Amino acid sequence: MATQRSQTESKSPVQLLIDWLNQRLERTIFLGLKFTLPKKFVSPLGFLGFLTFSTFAILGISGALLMLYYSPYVFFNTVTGAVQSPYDSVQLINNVYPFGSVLRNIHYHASNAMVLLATAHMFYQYFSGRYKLRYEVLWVTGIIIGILTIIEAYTGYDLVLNVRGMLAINIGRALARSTPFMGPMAFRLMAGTGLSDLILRFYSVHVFIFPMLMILIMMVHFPRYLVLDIPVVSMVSGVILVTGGLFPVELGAKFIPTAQAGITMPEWYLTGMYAIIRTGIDKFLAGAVIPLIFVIVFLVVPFLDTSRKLTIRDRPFYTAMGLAGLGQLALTTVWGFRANDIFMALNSIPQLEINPYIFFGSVVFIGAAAYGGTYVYFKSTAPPPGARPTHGRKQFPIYKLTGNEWRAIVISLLGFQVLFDIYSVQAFFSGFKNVVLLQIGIGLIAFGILAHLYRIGAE
Amino acid sequence: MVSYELGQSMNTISYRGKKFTSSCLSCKDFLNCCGSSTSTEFDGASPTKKKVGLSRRDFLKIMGGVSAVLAVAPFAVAGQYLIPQVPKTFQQQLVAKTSDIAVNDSMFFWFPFTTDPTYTNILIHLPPDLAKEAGSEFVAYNRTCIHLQCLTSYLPGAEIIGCPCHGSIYRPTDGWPIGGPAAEIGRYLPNVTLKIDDGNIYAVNVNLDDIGYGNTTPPDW
Repeated sequence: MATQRSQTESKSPVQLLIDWLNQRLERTIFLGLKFTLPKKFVSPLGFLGFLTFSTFAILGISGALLMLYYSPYVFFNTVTGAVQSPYDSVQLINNVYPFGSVLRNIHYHASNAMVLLATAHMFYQYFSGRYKLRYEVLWVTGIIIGILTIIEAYTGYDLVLNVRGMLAINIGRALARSTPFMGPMAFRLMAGTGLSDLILRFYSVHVFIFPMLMILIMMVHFPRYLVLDIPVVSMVSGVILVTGGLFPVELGAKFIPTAQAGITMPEWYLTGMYAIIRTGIDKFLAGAVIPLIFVIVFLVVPFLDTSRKLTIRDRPFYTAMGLAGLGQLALTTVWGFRANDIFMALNSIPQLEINPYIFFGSVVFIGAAAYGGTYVYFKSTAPPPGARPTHGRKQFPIYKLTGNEWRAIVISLLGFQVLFDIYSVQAFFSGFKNVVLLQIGIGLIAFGILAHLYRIGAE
Repeated sequence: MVSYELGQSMNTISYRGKKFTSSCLSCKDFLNCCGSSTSTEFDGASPTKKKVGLSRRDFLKIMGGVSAVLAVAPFAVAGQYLIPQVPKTFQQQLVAKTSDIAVNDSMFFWFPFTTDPTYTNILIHLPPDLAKEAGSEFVAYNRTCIHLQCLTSYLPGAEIIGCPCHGSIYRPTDGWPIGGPAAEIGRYLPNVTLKIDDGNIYAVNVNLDDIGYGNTTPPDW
């Protein structure tokens, strides 16, 4: 804890309680994890994993609350073509139940944040070389949790059963059915005997099976030392809420089998796969084999790169591989949103089909460019032989705040929070749902700044 | 000093250059069992029982492993729980009367279940020239496009079955894909077997495993 007191000093009852609890917690697994509360600002790049976990926790809480009103049943009226579907319950959560829209926005934007943070976490660890030299188990479990995260997000947005969700369900079902040899079995396993079965299965996977699996694997994936940076965690939470306030998640159009579907896009973390499927090559190859190759390459990388070198310059081959992967991911993701011509917006059906030669040619080109670029850059900027590596970091001049300035900033931040709390409650009762999100988010960011000031000021 | 070696033989203990297997430790007369022996491998628990083949410990290990496998083996059929079985034949269902549906017109019907939009089908009253080609005046197909499972419709103007999502088109006479991404897959749109009896059209059967995937054989109208 930040405030360690000497033995001789008389302890406050609170401190005594904390000590008592600490001693008892030593009997539990909890204290096996060492939480570090950094006393000054450290780069969040080093604890992106813990930030990912914080979003996982946010998702758990908001998701559990959403479950109270979500109803997974699908019923088709064969005469009128009307559908009674989970969409109706999501609509109620979004529009009718108080605070429902806020929870749904938190859940949606936290899911995006989790996928984004997990990807960033993976690539940062990759480029730092933290996948080898006894990090292998952490790396492999991390990749598995990453895949589970994507599938978790996929099952999640399907549960709404809007047109967009239905597109994803259809593609998923078509992929499962196209599995060689065991297609019908894989299809039944995923889809059951109808949409109601499928939604129930996705629901069970989304709210229980996969989160439990993820928690189990996390127990192995968590390193012994964790950085619990409260200011950054609250800032990230604040940003999630502010994003929700500025770009509230849409409900989308309800899926009705008789209605004509327009062009819909999957979520951004699946558009890469969608682009590959759109090239018209064999579905199983496009939707399963190629993404799997991508995953397997990253899965086996610690067993291929067994050198003891860690800097990006010392292992140009794997640095280039990471860059190639990052570039290909970016290209395919963007292309998924665009027309056959990547520089054109997608707005008509004939533009959906992507020319496979141009597409895969570009993907290969990105890989080649990453390798070529990396080797050329490292060669042209190589330090002269015999030169000592310079690890010096630039020291930025730090402005020291005076006592009065401290007080002014802290008190104004607190005032700011009080104001925004009042505003958010007022907005809540006035029905301005997005404003509620925005203001709670800003309040969380203000708390993050305050917590940061506390830790640097408490020294 | 007794050091434990993590070598290829498990539980081998080396002591002053001599190696002992763990079975030596279970021997009551330790020195007579192993101490005087310089051999590195020692089979059996006591010198009076040489060459039994398998030590009691190894025997128990193998049997324990087999027992554990046998204990969970019955769960192999749990897959049956996860993968619901679907029937191959269905009770025939009245779809329409032949007089209900005009020439070059079509209608939707649910068959064999009403739990999923992929169980909707189109009944088409083919125009005379197409009917002659198909060999039947009435044909019925499952609506699910074999490309990415969107729902197709009969377009009477063009006299084709079209998919709204990616523009796949099918021949209404046999369900063969003639354009769009489905043409590259090259499987027939699954047909619904019909029975026409006394002016009533009944749906008899459809292969559920082909829905959204395609049929490799043409329909027999």
